[in-house]
Amino acid sequence: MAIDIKAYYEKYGPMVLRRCRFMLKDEERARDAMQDTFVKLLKKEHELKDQYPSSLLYRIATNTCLNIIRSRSRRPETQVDAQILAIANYEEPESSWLAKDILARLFGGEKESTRTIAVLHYLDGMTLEEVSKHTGLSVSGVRKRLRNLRKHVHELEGVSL
Amino acid sequence: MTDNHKQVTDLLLEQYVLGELPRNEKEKLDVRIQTDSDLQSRITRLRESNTSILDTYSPEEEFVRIKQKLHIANVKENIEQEARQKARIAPFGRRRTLVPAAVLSLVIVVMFSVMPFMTEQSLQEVADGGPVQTDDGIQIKGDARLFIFLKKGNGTKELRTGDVAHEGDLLQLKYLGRGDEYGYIFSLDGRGALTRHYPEKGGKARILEPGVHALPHSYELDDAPEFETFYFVSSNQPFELDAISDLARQHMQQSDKTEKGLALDKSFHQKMVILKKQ
Repeated sequence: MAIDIKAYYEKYGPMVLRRCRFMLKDEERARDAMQDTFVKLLKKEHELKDQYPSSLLYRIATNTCLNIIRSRSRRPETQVDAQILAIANYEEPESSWLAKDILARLFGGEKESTRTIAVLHYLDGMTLEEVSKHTGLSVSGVRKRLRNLRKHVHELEGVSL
Repeated sequence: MTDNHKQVTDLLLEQYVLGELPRNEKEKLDVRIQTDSDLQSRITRLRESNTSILDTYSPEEEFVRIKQKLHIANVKENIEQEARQKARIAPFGRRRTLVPAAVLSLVIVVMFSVMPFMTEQSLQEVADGGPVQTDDGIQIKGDARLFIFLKKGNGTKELRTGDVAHEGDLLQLKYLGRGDEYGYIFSLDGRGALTRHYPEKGGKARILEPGVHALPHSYELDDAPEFETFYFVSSNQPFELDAISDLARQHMQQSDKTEKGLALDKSFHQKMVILKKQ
């Protein structure tokens, strides 16, 4: 499905930017992340099905921001919520497939990363059912992933989720 | 928790405003919004935010920036893919990272035969809008350009592509800002080390002032072998330096492509000056 970038930006750009602002707390980085989100969408546009892409863009933006937070977390000027930082730095048990193209999962309907699931649930306040709907995982699958993450993050960093 | 008391998440509200909620969910939310002043306020703020964001970051500007990033991402991906393929074809072969002198010589003759040769005195004329005079007498319309001067005693001599430079040479870089608003000047040496000249710090391309400007610091060549390639990348849109630097580093690994310049989107312009090291 070919994407009209300008039309997509006009429609979804503000939503994506708000998402990135919320995650990154920095206007310039949020704008960069917003653009990167569209780049990632465009790189897979031929795999995009003719459906409303707001949920997909929201998750790509979340992933993009988590990666930015993770890569910058060792730098002293970084100031993000402890919860976001803990989630961003979470090493997933499924890291062997995490290292593979994250977009392939987003577009291919494969498993969503636990980090994104955690942000949707803990920070956005989505219910397990809502997370399930947006990620395509079963409710019990979401619950299990979150339980593992909660245990791991608490043990390592002492942050309560 | 019943639907009427469930928290309305930001995404749900975004989808409501976008008109992308399934009919039954929209109808439920419509009912809640009628009696929930907080939800009404959130929707109003979302719509105001939409207008504000599109006013601040216009679709035209974001379109260009997204296209630039997409192009750079695609080129990087292609380069990486080619490198992987080459590694598969010759698993035990030694990877070449330096450009052979013979290739450089060919590049010099073929690609830069029309590079203008300037004196410092004539720079002001160009800066004032005059045409650039090439060696063979052809006048070409001036645009953003990079000039490199070798400091020699009290004087200077312009170096251009193909000229020889040595370890310890002190170079003064100047640029002509014309046409494009943003620029980035850097160099890569024969070891693949990248040096940023303008700007020296920060993540974004610096605004180019019209006219000829000397960079604040001279640059002393070290003992890196074979060559030092100077790049001046410019565009009318702001761009990120890391992406260009990464692209240049990867490009340098492709010895058969070095002479062709960076594969940049057409919204970029680039100038190269390649000095031979002896």
